[in-house]
Amino acid sequence: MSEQTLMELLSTLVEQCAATDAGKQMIATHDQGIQFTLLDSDDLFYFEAKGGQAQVIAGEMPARSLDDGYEIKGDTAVFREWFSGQARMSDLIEHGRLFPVASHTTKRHIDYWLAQIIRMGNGLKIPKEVY
Amino acid sequence: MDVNPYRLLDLLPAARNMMDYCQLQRGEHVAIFADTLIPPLVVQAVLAAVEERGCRPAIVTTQPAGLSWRQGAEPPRAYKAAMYASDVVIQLKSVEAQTFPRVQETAMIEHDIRMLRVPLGNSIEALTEEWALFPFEVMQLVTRKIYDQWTEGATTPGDVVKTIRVQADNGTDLTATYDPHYVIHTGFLFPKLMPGQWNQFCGATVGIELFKDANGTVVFDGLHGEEEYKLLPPAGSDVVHPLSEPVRWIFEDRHCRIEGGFEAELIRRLVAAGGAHADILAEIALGVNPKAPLNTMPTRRSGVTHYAVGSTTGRTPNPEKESAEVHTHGHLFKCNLWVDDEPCIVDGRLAVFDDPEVRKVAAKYGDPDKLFEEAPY
Repeated sequence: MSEQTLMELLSTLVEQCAATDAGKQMIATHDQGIQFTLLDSDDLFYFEAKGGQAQVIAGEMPARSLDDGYEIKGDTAVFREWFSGQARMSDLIEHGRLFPVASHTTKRHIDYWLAQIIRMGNGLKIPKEVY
Repeated sequence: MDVNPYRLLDLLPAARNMMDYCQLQRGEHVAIFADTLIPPLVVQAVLAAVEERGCRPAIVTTQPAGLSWRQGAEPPRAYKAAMYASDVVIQLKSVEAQTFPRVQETAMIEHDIRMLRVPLGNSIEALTEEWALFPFEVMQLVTRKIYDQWTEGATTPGDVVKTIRVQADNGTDLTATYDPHYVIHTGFLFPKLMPGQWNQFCGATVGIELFKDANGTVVFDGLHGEEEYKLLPPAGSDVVHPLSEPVRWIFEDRHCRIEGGFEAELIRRLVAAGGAHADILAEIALGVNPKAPLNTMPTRRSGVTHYAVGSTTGRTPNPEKESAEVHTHGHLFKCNLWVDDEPCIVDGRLAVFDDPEVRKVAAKYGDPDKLFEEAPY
C-alpha cells in the first residue's frame, strides 16, 4: 500500500479530530487559514477552518490578513514526523526544523490550536489529561 | 520592630490588576512562580487576588532567573509538573531575564497554558506604583493600534516590505526595511489572552525581529538585559544608565559596528562571542506604558525604543541562515519614529495616545490626559 501524501495525512487527522465532540470543539476555536510550504518540494496545500468546519485543500492559499492567515515552512520529512505523532511542534520549532512565518509571539495561540488538532487526530491524550 | 511600611491592602489593587491581564476564570488552577528575591508580601497579595477570583492557586519558589537558568538547562521535575498542570502561570520575577524558556515554550504550545510575566525587581514598592495600575483594556488597544500601523497592507501569503525610520537629536538616524510577518506584540493582539499566549504585566511592547536591510546610526541612553550589566551602575540591575559616554551602533547592510567607551567594549565582547551573525540588527521595539519607571523598566516605557543585535532565542525567524548565540540590547529614551512615513512616535510621545478611539476607552478609567501623562522619572 502506498504511503499517504502529507496532504492526505493531514486531511485524515482533521477528519479524525472532527469525529469527536472535543475535537469538533477544538476546531471551532478559531477561523484560520494555514499554508504549508515544503522546502524540498513544489507541493503546496493549506488548512482552512471556518465556522467550526475544517478542510485541507491543495494549492496556494488565497491571500488574507495577518490575523486570518499563517504559513509554516519545513521539509517533507519534518511535517511527516509531526503529523504522525512522532514529534511535537514545539520541539521542531526549538530545534530549528520547522519555520513558522510569524514572529515568536503573533501566532502562539494558533500553534497551540494546530498542535492539539493534530494530537487529537492521532488519538493522543491532551497533555493536561496526564496530570 | 516592624520597618515594613506596607500592608497587604496597599498591594492588592495592582495584584487585582494582574488578574485582569491574565483574565482568570473561576475554578482555574493557577501556579504562582516567585523567585527568592520577591518579597513574601508581594506573593501573598497575588495569592489573595487569585483566591478572590475563585481560582485554585499554588506557589512555586525558584531561584532568581540569572542564577538558575542557562541555555538548555533543565528545571527540576516539580517545576515542570507545576507549569504543565496549570491553566495559568503567573511569574513574579526579580529580574526580567527568562527562566527555563524551553519549558515555558512547551507549556504554552503543548499544554494549554497562558502565562503572565511580572518583572518586579526585588522591592515591595514596585506593586504600589502607578505603572502597575495601567488598565489592560487600554494597553491592549494601544498595542493593537501600533501593531496595525506597523503591519498595514500585509497579507499571508504575501511579500510586502515596510520601512521604519528612527531619528533623535542625539545623532540617531536609522532606517530599516522589514517583513511585517515578523512584527511582535507580546500577547496583546486580542482582547482575550488565549492558551499558547503570554502577556507582560502592564508592559506591552511592539517590535520587529527580522529585517531585510538596515542603515544608519542609533545612539543609546542606556543598555539592558545582560547579566554582565549588573556589575555596572546602578549595581545589581540589568539596566545600565547613565552611560559613561555615548554608545553608538552604526549599521551598514544590517551589520553593526559598535562605538563608545567601556560599555561599548562590553557589548563588542558579547557580540564577538555570539558567532558570525551576532552583529545583525535583530530587534527594534517600543514600550507603551507612560508610567513605567525609566530606571528599572525602560523597555516598557511609552516612547522608549529598544534595539538588539543577534538572534531571538528559540524562534529565530531564519535559524538555518542567521542563528546567533546572542541577543543584546540598548535603548533610547526619546525619538521620532515613522513607519512608511506615517508618524508613530512624535517627539518622544506615542501618536496613538491622541487616537479618538483610544481616548474614549481610556476615559472609562479616568482622565485620558492623566493616564497618558509621562511619569517624571
